[in-house]
Amino acid sequence: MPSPRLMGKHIQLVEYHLMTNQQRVLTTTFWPRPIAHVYTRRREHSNASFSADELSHFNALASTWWDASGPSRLLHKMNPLRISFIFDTIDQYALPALSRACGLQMLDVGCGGGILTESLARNPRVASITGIDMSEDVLAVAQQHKKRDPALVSGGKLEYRLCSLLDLPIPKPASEGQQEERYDAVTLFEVLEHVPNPSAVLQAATERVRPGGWIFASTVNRTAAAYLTTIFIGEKILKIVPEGTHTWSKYINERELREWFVEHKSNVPGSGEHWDIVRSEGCIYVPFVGWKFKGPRDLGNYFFAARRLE
Amino acid sequence: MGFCTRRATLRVRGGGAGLYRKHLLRPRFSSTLALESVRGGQSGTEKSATASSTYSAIASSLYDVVIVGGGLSGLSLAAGLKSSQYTSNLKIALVEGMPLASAKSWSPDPDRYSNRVSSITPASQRYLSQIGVWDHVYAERVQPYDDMRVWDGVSGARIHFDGFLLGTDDGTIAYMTENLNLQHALLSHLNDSPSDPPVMILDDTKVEAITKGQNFDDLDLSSWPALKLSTGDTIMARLLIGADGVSSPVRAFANIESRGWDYNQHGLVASLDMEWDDRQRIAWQRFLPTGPIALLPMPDGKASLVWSTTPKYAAHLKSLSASAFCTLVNAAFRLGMVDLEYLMSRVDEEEIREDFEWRDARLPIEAEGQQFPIRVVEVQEGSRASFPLRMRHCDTYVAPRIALVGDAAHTTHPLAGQGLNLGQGDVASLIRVVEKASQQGSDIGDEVVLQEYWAERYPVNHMMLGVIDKLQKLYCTDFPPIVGIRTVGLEVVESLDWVKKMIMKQAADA
Repeated sequence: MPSPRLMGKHIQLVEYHLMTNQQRVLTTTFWPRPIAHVYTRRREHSNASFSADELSHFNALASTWWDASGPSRLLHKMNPLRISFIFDTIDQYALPALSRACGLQMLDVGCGGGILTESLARNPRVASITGIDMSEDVLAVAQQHKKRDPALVSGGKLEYRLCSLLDLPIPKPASEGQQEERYDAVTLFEVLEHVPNPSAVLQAATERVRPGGWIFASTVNRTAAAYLTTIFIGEKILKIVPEGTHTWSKYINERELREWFVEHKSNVPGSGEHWDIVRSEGCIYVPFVGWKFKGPRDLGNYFFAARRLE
Repeated sequence: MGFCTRRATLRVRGGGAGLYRKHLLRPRFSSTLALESVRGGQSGTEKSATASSTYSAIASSLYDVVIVGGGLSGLSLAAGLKSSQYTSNLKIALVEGMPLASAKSWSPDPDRYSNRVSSITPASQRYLSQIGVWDHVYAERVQPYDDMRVWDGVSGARIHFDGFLLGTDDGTIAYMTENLNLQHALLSHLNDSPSDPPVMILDDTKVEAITKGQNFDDLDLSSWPALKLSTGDTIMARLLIGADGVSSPVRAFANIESRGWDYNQHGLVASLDMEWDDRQRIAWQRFLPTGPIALLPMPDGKASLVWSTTPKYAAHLKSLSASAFCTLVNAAFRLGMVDLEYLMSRVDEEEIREDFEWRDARLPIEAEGQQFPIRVVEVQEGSRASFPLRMRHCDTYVAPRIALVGDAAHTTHPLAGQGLNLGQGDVASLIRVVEKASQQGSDIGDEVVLQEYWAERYPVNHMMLGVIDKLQKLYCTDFPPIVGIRTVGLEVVESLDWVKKMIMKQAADA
């Protein structure tokens, strides 16, 4: 029996071949990296075969991912900003009649240990949420942590899946006698700068959003300032971010993301799909205060919201 | 799917690799089933049926918030959480060791006032109104004051805080009322305002032990505090609130260090009758080297005394006859330090009275008027009580799934009448934080969430505690150079309205 991972790769190759030529060309114009898996750095842990001390390793990881004063502290601190970004944007830009502002069906890509995913599952406006991640051990942490909250255990709103976005079957669109099954919102927080081919990931995300739905993302601009703050100061000097978390060359400029949507998703003839970039904001981490929307969106970290028009 | 889950769980217990296998296998080889569960909906019921049999067995003992302590902070917190649209759906339990029935059914006797009173700042009063509690307060038992006279017993330097400096409509500096009045109002409010689910009040119930919950296979409550109650029940809390006073058991469980020192003073309280009901709305405080004595107006010509003094004097004052005690209270506001010290050494009622009258008659004539409070004529029987005074401040107010409010987090000297108000400030802040977390979907017991409460309140409380502590130290001496410095300081402040206004605003908004 082939290992599941190999199977995943296989599916992906098939997907690549199924892409239209136009898609392939555009993919390679913007990010000249070969299309590949949604691939996180953390995945490397799981490449090792299972050993006797896997469980203790997993436990060690569990304790740091959710340790609010541990290496993931900045991620924990960013969570409220992510949540308000999502719901403030929906409230502000969607007409109440058009948006299903309550009972959202959501997909959290690159959910990690589930910091955002759990919050969304508890959020009264969310009807269901699926968290997907590529890393077995981190997803196991998420599964374990979910059990710490009876509301999540009994609520039935939260589901985790170990798979790449590209492997996730595209939900059925609405048709005669068929309910809309695509997501109301797909979140890609701190994901795009970790994947080798962000274009493919974005494309896959857009395919899974219903008309009128949303993509919420955050990533980092590929600027000298971002190198200085996120890598040099964050990882090397202050060490508030685990070393090796970021790779500067994988950062994505806000303008590039914007252009991707304009070129691929705005009035592309025949695609029948239109996307608007409705909001994009720079954010910074202020020590002792937390993450704030402040500063230009093309300098360091930024949040981004795009909406698929009805 | 149910089978799959169960098998995976068994494997984890067996060796550990099973959990990984579960994640590897399930999504890829049962994609149709997984897709259904992705969409929630129909698979939701199936899921909750298999997800946790433990959950359904223990659901009734799980609470979102468990408040230990049915005092003013604990009850305000429960009432506040229930009054907010974002937190009214929380399942709340309040555990109190004493019975609350008498406070709940309290109907005031016009001739008797409880000796436990509090000064409520306009900020605290606004908050209680906002959450709907103030409507249940017996208004005739509340005395606002808009004038405060504070003076130095050694040098006679005075400061006069006039409410009009605050620039508010009525210039109220604070409201005096019995703690019982507030407690009654809070309980009535909780009783009268229907909420779903209602606050579970477990009074006359002691917390025998606090431990951590259990890790079941399908539900991990090892981070949840579990409270073993004297009724034999055990309840578990997503967020455990310590509103349990100075010697907080919740704080001990959370291993939070409380630092500070004891003032070598006792606070003597008593309910007094004044010579007549002059309807002046003045609070009086005189700093004696043994500690400040304060006379706070209550309705109907009553007043409340808070006399901070040495433990020896406190014991002496409690042992005296009612009439001798009243004479000494009058003397403490009017006579010089030498005269007062002499009177405090006497025990005979008649001797004390005659001696006081003789000395009082020799006070300079300009000392009358509004320099002193009118005389005290009676002390309510059984209302004299004293307690040790101390300063305590916790290093932190929060731990995972734990938050401390009010006296559990900080204790201060009563000289500024801030004790209750600092607690109310904590409550309002914690509610804001819990509201925000509930609205967003964060876990309200998450330490990152709770840290925001601590970050907001610690500096405010620390400053207030520090200022009160310094004032206490500054005035607890008759060493001439210090007296000289503090006298000049007080006179400067007295001449600068904007400084007085700033001080009053600080005290009113705390």
